[in-house]
Amino acid sequence: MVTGAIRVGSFAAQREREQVLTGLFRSHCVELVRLAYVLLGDRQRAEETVQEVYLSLFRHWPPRDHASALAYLRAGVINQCRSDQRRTIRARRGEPHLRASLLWSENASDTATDVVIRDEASRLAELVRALPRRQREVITCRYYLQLSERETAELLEIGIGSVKTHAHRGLAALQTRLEGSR
Amino acid sequence: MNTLERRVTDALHEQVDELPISTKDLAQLQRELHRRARGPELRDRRWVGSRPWQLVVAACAVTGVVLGVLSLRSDPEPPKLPAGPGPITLTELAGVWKVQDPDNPWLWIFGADGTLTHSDGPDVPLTPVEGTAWTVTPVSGGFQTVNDTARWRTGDGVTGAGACIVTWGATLSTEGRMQGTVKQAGPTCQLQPSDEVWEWIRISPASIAGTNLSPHGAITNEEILTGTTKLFGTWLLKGTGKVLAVQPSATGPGREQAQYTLYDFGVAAEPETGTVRWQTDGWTFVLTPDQGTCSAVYEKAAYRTSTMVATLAVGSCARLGGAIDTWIRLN
Repeated sequence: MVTGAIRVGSFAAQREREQVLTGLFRSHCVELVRLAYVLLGDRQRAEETVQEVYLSLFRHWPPRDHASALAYLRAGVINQCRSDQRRTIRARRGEPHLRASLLWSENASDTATDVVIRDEASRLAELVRALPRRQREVITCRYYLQLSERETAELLEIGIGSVKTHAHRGLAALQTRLEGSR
Repeated sequence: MNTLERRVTDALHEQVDELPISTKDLAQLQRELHRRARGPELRDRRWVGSRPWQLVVAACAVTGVVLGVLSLRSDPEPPKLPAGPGPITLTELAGVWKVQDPDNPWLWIFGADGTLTHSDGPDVPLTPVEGTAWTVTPVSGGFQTVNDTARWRTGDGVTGAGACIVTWGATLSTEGRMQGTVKQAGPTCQLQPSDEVWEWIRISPASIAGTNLSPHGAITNEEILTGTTKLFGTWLLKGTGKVLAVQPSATGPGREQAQYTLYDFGVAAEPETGTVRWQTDGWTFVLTPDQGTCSAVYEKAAYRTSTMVATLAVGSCARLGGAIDTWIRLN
């Protein structure tokens, strides 16, 4: 057993609470920004999203479930990204197209597509971000966070059957779009 | 995991891992956090100025916004924290630190409760040795380490014992580096005051410096591991604060079995302990936790120059990291 490991067991004592709070920030900030970046594809928005989640945590302190602070924060990031994307879509309404839509548009110019499709990794990541919301979130949980189906279901507060369905559909859509863009 | 699933996994991680964020970017983010802490949108809220919020702002400053773990580049001179003459806190110290010397295998493990243990092998997380644990107390400009029953043995076979108090002058950087010198030390201490500058890198919880840790030691050709012997030691999962310690099993048949401990100071969960067993095919190995039956199966591990690349087998129930893990040997 590691001596003095930071625990999230009891928030009764102020000192322990301070340690837990600091530990949460130190431990999970990077991971959460990465998660937000996967979902949003924009670093600045990812950083702002994570800031919002930490602010929200302190507004609603203590969290309901002390034992799963990471899950709480992850769920907060996913929810915050969802809100961010809604705002973005509203803001872009009326634009001729969204950036991701270029990826599999047969009519998109090669030049524009070349800029977007720099390599397979970024292309695949863009394709994931362009999936419908639930599919995108499930794919991110399963293949970026590498959570099990059960963990994904708990985090997104949906059933395991839904996780399987969204994962299957998401992967099928990715496969189709990858083949279509060759 | 099928081919497409693996491609998606790799693509998402590859894209995130290549995010360029410099220490200047981090400083900007830190300022933004401070601004928001004092901003009008929060000023009227009753919890502003409460301890938790002050703490998170302090944490931003203290940790230098560890988002820089994402960094592939960094400025030549990592910015120092505005530490001033104040002591380093136990919270800042808590974690596993590696002495910044390619040939020095020692890890310093600071507990949030003010303990300090040292290890040059994979044993400390499992079995701290009585008499080797120290207590740490923050002091002005650094910290003090105390051991009431210090015992040591030098390479020449000289042994010593007795209470020992060492006062360190130390500074922390935003990247997760710490520099220190011995300012004062009792006569029974092995370390004595000098101008020698010690440098440590925080391995766990993850830090920029720890994430950028490079393989060290003699350059060796790639070798496919075929037994537990090469696994013995302490490993860092590259890009994370996750540490894997593998040591010979006390009860196993020896070469084919080992004990492991997997832990991350940044994660609240208890360390995971279990058994490593090598399969008869010669290269597949299985890590089975003591609690539960979901094992991680690796179909291959290639070792070269202090680095092990382990490939998760298709259908593995559990995993230590991702589909393909890169582990850097710490000792």
